[in-house]
Formats: sequence, structure tokens, C-alpha cells
Amino acid sequence: MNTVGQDLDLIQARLHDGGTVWTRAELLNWYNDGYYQLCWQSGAIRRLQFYDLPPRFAYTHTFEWETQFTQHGPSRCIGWSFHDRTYRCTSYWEVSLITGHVPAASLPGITQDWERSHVDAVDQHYTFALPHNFDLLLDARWNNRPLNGISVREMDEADDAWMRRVGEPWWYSTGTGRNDTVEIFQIKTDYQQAYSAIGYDSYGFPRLLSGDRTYEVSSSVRQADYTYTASGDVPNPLNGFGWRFTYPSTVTSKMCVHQWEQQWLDGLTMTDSPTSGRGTQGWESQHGIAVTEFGVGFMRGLTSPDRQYLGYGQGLELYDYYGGVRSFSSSDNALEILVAQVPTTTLAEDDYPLLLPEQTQKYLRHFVWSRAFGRQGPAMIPKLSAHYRTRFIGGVMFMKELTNAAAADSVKVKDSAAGNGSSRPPYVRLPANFESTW
Amino acid sequence: MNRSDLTTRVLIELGESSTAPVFWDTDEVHTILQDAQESMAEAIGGIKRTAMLSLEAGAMFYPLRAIAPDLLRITRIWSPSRDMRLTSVTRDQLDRHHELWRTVTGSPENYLSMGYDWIGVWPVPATSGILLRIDYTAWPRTLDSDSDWPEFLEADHETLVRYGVYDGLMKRWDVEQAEAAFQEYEFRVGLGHSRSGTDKAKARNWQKGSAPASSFRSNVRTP
Repeated sequence: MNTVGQDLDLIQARLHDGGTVWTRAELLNWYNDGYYQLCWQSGAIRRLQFYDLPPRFAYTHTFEWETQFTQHGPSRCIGWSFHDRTYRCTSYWEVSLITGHVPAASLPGITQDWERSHVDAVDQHYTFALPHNFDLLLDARWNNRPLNGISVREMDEADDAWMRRVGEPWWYSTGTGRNDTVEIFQIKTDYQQAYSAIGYDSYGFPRLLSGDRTYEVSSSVRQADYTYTASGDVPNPLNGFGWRFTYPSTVTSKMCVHQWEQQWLDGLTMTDSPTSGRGTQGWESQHGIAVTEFGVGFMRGLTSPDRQYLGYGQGLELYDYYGGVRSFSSSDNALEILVAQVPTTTLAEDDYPLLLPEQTQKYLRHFVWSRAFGRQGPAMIPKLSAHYRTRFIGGVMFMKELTNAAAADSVKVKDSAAGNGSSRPPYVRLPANFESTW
Repeated sequence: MNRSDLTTRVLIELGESSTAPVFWDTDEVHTILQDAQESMAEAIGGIKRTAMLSLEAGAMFYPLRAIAPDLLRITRIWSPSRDMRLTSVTRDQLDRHHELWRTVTGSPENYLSMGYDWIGVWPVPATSGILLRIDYTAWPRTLDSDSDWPEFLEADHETLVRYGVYDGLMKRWDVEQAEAAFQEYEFRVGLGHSRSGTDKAKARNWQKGSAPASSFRSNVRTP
């Protein structure tokens, strides 16, 4: 795959320009535009996202201007404005009180949805934050079961308290929340926590997994590259993973190979040593000697015969596939969504447009040429611009088709006009003479 | 034609010297030929490959780039252990078939696309080691040397030259001639698609009519 800079070199060569007519920064901007457009228009980048219940937001706030300080994290405005936005309230009775009326009936106000587990019902809707790079919500599931999309009007007409009705989730809607949010109904107010990363804010990556399941470590780094005996060997010129195999005595300055030696020197009760001896190098295992094996580094993957641990990136898509595991989620008793994503980072010249296959980089070049030849000023050639625009659109159509990787293997047949079912349960149909009959 | 022949043809068509070109260097032509190969593969699907996938118990989803980095479109998935072809389905079909299909385990009989770069198999494999043979059309590899040749049918090599000529004319900003060359390229691509045989991996979803009033008689004999 070319870096963005290498692609810009190819683009400049075709423009016969070294930055005089079209600056490098200008081309880079267009390249980023093309990257976004190709991902967005094709909808080809699809990822799963899982949510523990109740929903969580990194920030809640009462005024819109506060969102600028939420660092692009999931945030929720819990304040309702009234009196020409002079006031903000979180409960209905506040409006009545300030306007000098009898306080309206209100339910408790909350700022985070986990508080629902401590109150009976609230007036806030049950809202989840969609990913920052979210473009289109394709699918939603609760506990592996599909949820049906529904409009707010249908819910309003069906139930006067649908927004706080507790029970099994059946529906999802993006109708009432703000942008980048989705709501589900019925709601779950108790905790449905799959994994809890304890101390993640202080200690970095998880080092230990515990719970109802049994976890074992499997490491590709099993043996030391070299061994050494004392702290005097460190620092040393050797590369790789070293293991100090000695037990230092706390009473004397001696280094011991076996633990009983150190215990004897320190005046402690001696324990047995391995009867096969103590190995210091990996090859000694060929002679029946137990060699210490190591699991080092971060957790890179999880496997199980009972379920799949599927790695997915969160945040900056450029680095989705690097680094360590930061959090764990589950599809059991959780909300799962499938979304189409768009890039949210601006590529620099040393970056790669990693969300797309490398072979589609030619369409990004077409996009840049389309913009360059279409720009008002020197070397504006509308016909060339239009042609490259057509090529780019061809690339979008191609990526859109590729979104279904199995499209070439699907057999298409004509369906009856009435269709053979949908994901929505049918409406109740009453006879045309319903009222007169009854 | 090998890469050297293709390069020569493109340069001559552009009115350049094939041995000492002035406005081109051969690396540039090689890049264009690679673009041509990719564009043809996207349209024709003429490069066919097979990859094997060993399923893991409990694992439903598999990234396609990890199965084969050059995978373009899946044309068929075959289970050698059960001698059967897996049927391509959609999430919607599975939702209607079984509400909790995500939790069903067994031997996979279906697969579904989850986006351009990952697929799921269903039911979820109950045991590890089930093999799947994945037939697919591939992105072309880069031609390594002048004696290397494209994997497309020889009859399609001229299509690569047409693309090279088109792109060369675009470099000259000669859009009128370039569009004419591109139309010729697209016409040849249509022929190449028919020749490639990729559609033969699918079921025929059309057939000649057999109704009594149709222009050809049916073979059904009535007493």
C-alpha cells in the first residue's frame, strides 16, 4: 500500500506540477476528502459495537456549549431549555416552579443512566451513544436477538409510558435522541455488565482475567533469550529477553541456583528442589530438565471453544489493529449494533488509508485529479475533471458492490409482490366494517 | 504478452519510442499496467484463486484479509468434510429463519457477508478444524519482471494495452481521445467478462421459455 505521500507524488506527476499551481497541502486536503467520500458513499466499512447496560456516557452536561470540552467522547445533554433558553432543567417540576405554577408531576431526575438502578422510573429516555465515526445504523440486537426499528409516533400511540417501561428490549429508534444516539425499548434498569476492567484508568492494559470462566495464558515467548546471575550483569550488551535465574541471599551477597541454597544461607526452612535439576537454557529441556517458561507482554488475543472473542477497534481507526486490549464486551445480555463507519482522522503524508483495500487507492487519485482540474484558476479543465469524477463514482459503485463480499455467490429470484415477510411484525388488521359490526 | 511486450505496445500506441521514450519512463508504464490489471479484475473477475479456512469452535466471524489478502469476491464456499456447498445468506434471511441464530452451533451450512472485509459462517462451528474451501476472484499480483505476464486470458491482454493507451492520453490531458480509448477498453472488458467463466460458478437464473406459445417448442410431449 502506498503512503499518502507516495500517492501525492503520482498525482503531481499526472498534473505536471511540482506545487506551483496546486500546492501539496491542497492536494492532501482533497485526498482526505476522497478517502472520506469513498468510505461514506460506499458504506463498505462495517463494524460491530457492544454496549453494557444501562447505557454510559463519558460526560453529561446541561448546556450545548459544554460539548466542546468533552474531547469527542460520548456525551449527553440532560438539560431541557425553557424561557427562551434562559433556564435549564432536568425535571418537569422545575419549569412549573420557575414559571410560578403548581409543580407538574415529575419523576426523579438523573444525570447518568446507571442511577436508574437506584430509582423506580425517570423521565429521561434510555439512550446509547453511537460511535464517533458512526455513519449508518444497520442492525441492532439485544442478547443476540434482532431488535425491530420503530418510529416514535408508533410508540406514542401504543403506550403512554413506553420510554420507561421496564422489560425485555424489542425495539430501537433513533427518533428522539440527539445525533449519534439510539434508544431501545423496553428498557433494562439493572446492571448487565459483561466484563469490568478494574483500575483501567490507573494501570493501563489488563494483565489478569478472572471470573466464572477459567483463563490460561498461551504465549509465543516461552523461553528466555539469555540468562544471567546477578544485577551486575545489567545493563549488558545482549539483546532480547533475559532471565535472572538465581536466588539472591538476603543475608550474604551470594547468588544461589537452587532455592534451598538461598534458604540455607538465610537460615530458613529448606524446601525441596526439582529432582530433574534446574535448567537455565531452553535446549536443556531436551535432557529432561524442567525449564521455566514465560508469558510476557500484553494480551494479544483470546480464544475459546465456546465463543468467539472478536477484536474490534474503537476510536482512531488508523490504529485500530495495534496496541492492547482496553475493554471487553459481550453479546450476551447486551446491546449489539452493526454500523457503517467513516474515517474521522485526517491523514498526513506518512499515513495509509487503512480502512480501504490498497487497490482502491487509484480511486482516491481520481478524486484528487477531479478536484484539481475542476478548481477555478490556472489549468482548470472541466472535461478532465468530469471524466475523473466519473471514474471516482465508478469506484464508489464498485466498493458498494464489494460491501456484500458474497454478492457473486448469491442466487437472485423473483419474489411475490406481497413479499415473504419482513423483520417487522405485521400490524393488526381489522375488517373495513370494524366499528359498524361491533 | 509479457510485461515487456505490453510496455512496448503501449509506448508505440502513444507515439513514443519503445526503447528510449522521452515523455515516459518504463516504471510509469508498469504502474499504469498494474492499474489496468486491477481495473480489469474488478470488472471481469478473471483471476481465480482458492484458499482454505480452518474454522475454530465457537468462532462465527472471519476477516477476509486474513484468509487471503488478495481476495476480491467470493464465488463459492465448499465444505470438503461434508461434500456440500455453503449457501450465501443475508442477516435478514437468518433473522427470519431463526430469531437466535447467533447462538446456534453445529456444522456450518451457510455464510454471510458482514462487509467488504469479513464474513460469518452459520451455524457457529461446534468443533475446531472444520475446513472450508473458498473459491474467489482475486486482485492481480504486480508483475515482477519484463518476462512476467498477466494471468488474464491472452485474448484479454489487448484490453490492458487499451487501458494503457487511455491512461497515457489522460496524462497528455487529451480527454477526447482518452474517452474514446476508454470506451474501447470497456467494450473489451464486457467480452472479457463473458470469457472469464466467473458466472459459471453461479446458478443460471434464466432459461428459455417452455410455454406453448413461445417461439421454441418445449420438449415435453403430451399425449
